[in-house]
Amino acid sequence: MCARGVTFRVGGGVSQIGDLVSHTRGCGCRGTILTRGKPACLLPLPTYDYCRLVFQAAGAASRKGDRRRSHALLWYVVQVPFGPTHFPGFIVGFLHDGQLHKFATYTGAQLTSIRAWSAWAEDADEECEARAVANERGLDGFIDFHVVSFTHSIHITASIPSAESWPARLHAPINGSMTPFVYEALNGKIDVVMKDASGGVVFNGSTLHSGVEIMGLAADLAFRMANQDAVSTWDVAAALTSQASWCQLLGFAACCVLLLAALVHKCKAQRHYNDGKSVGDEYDAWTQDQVLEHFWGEHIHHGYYPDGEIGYVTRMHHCCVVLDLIPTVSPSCCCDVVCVCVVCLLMVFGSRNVDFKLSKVDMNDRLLAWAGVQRGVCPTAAAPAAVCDASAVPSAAPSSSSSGIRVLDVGCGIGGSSRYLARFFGPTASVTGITLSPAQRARATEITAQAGLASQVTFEIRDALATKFPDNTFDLVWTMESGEHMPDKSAFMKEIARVLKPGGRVVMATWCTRDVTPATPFSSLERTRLERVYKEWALPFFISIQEYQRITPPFGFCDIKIGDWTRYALPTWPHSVLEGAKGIVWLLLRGPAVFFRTLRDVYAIWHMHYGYVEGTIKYGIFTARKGYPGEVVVHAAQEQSEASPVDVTSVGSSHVSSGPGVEEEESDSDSDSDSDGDSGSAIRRHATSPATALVATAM
Amino acid sequence: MSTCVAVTGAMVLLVAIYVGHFADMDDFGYHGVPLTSCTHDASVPGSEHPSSFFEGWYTKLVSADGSQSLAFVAGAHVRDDHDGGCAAESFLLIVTDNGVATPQRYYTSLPPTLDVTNGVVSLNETSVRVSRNSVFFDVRQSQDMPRVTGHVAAAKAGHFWPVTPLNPGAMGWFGWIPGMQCYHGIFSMSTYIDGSITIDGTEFNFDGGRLYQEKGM
Repeated sequence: MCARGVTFRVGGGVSQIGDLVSHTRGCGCRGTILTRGKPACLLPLPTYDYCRLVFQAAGAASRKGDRRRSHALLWYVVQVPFGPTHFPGFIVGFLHDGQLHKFATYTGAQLTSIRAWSAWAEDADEECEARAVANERGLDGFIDFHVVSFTHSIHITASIPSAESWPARLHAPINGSMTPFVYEALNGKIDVVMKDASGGVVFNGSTLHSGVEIMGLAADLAFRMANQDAVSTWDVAAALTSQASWCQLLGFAACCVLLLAALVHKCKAQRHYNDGKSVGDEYDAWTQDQVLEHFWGEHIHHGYYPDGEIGYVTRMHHCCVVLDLIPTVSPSCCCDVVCVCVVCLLMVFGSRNVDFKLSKVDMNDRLLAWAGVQRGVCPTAAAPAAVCDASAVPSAAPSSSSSGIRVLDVGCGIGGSSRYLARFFGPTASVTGITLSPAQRARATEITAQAGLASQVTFEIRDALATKFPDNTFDLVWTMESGEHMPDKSAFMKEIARVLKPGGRVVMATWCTRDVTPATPFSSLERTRLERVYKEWALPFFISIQEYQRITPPFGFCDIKIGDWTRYALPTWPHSVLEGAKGIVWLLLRGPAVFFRTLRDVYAIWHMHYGYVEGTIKYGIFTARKGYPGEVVVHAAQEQSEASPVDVTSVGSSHVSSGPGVEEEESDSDSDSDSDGDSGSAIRRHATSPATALVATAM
Repeated sequence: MSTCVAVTGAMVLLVAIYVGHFADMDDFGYHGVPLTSCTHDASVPGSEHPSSFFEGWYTKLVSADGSQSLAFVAGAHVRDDHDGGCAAESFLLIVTDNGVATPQRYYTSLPPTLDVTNGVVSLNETSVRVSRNSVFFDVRQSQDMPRVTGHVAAAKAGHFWPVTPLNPGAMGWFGWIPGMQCYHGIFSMSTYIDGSITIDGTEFNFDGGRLYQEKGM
């Protein structure tokens, strides 16, 4: 391999320390870049702020150990000079169990945090957080950064202990126009934690005697990296025109045209949330261009992936294996191209564990099972849970048949869930779907008629915050990913409570944020991530599922249960991109407007997915039962220390309670997925808990 | 529809331009020609050394138990003086850490004697040869450098950074962008090695150890 990495065929043999190694039809390299680039140095120029970190986990080094036992880490973070300008870039390669995990600017990985300081760097006197840490621990250098890729995240902390005569001062060649020297240390301590997309720890280890180089403006570089300095288009143009040939300029011009077209389109149709009309308009557009329906089917919401993956991770692994094999098995570029084509085919058409469209039906199944809603059984017939006083239930409670069951589907889309629920509860059930989009309503009505369910399922244009349905109308309110569009979450939950019959149940899945507390506010990166998602998909804001839990009790709900199904919904977005890649020809034929709009959706999908990976965005699920009049609802105190206040709500009263009686379920890397989605790791807080304060009143 | 065709055509054109552009690179090959001075004879095929040039090989060796480590850089540099002349030198840096004694460093600057032949880099004056996954030292003692002898070679195939047309090495597709100041390649992320190196009478035993190797230019 050479710096340019261009492979070509070589012949003959080379003597390597006495052993003749044949390179015939092997892989060689050439250094022709020397004539066209102007590489000044291996070591950085003053503008080439540079940190390199190399470690090899000595504990894993064993002669008998096979490739799977080896670990090695390589990290560069640089301010890459590029003509008259520069841009930030990084490369992390982590060899783990024989597999190379790449985290690099060009692979789409993102540097989510970085701190760096070195006593030897040019900006060593500058005050920064990393310097404070280094001084506190008595270190000569401290680097700490976190990188997130498509499938993994890695956190690396490097500590360079103070020592006399350390580190070695590597002089640059005297004639070079480069930085006079760089410090080279071999006594660094590196801590590495790598996690998979679901947060499970894949590797956690550390090593001594690691090579570390820090030079240039380390702290300044870290600051700029953290603030994502980027090269401007103009800078790129200036750099290219100063050095490039006409064909490069032509290529660059073609790129500019494409970029301009994309930018123009982006500026023309930003999808900010303004009011309910903007939501309706956006869904009109999505429905009319038919892209969502084509790729997602009739259920336009997240799918359920039992193992937290769709096989795309497996598929990507297979592709990586192929890519890794290319340099060793392919003697020519032709063979490389064939291998790359194989990879592309694998990515798009490779083995798949979960069907994209069926995963959404599975989500419906699992969510209803998790909420305790049984097929063909009216939810209002279900017995109240322990936290409600069963004796208060009127003797004339609804029968257990599904006769006359009425279901409201809030944010029905093109009616996938509505039709699903009609079939779920049987031919005597009636489902009403509401949406703000006339186009969605028309399409939903059309599909429903074709499905022969027109007598059971109807669709109306209504505002979910003021549906104008009579009180106590529905046995079940189903809201699949519509809560995130509501500008007033309390009003939304209140309206659901109003239209539900006593004993009726709400089942909700919604996009949420993580639970935010004064101690754990959003970081600037998290806020940026959320803002981008909001602006692209006409969303006002998200709240945490815990917040839903907190605002709901005053409206008369009991048996509240929440859950975090981020892990099971996570693969939806990358899966959707793969599906889009598979249908790229169809997409192109839809015309440039639709094509670019879909490309912009990929941009939003990117942020959405990373929001999940980083833990900023959560996929929350919620269910609760509306209490019967006079039924006593007991709320668990939130914390032991706060248990002294009396905390009781009687259904129908206007008293506002701050502590709901709840069950909370959280998915984590250790929890297994049960068929009903109710894992054993659920955190439950019941009225009988010692931490619970109980006082009952009647209305 | 016409816009789609235009966009697709532009993309194809872009790819064709770049592929064609880099297909010419064989004509500029310099391998097989020793770098012994700034001057070159343009009439000799393959001797078209650029007037500005740098190449350096970084190798790090770690013993099996991790207690000893050694890193060294062998490189050479030629700089255009903009007045028709140029300056050149080669250098060798060695840093060691045996976990007991004070870590050491050695650096020496040498006349430009870097020899790059079919992937083997030799600093002839100091008898240092570096190739993929192997190192050979027979360095005479001098004012800046102690006596260094020994060799280390790969015991079996190691892990290296995959090279593909789309991602040529560790720099990914950035490796295709012309005008970058430096280009890096990783020869070995981790290779099991055998051998030892003796520096000023102190032996560094790397039997069962591991090697990291990269190249920058």
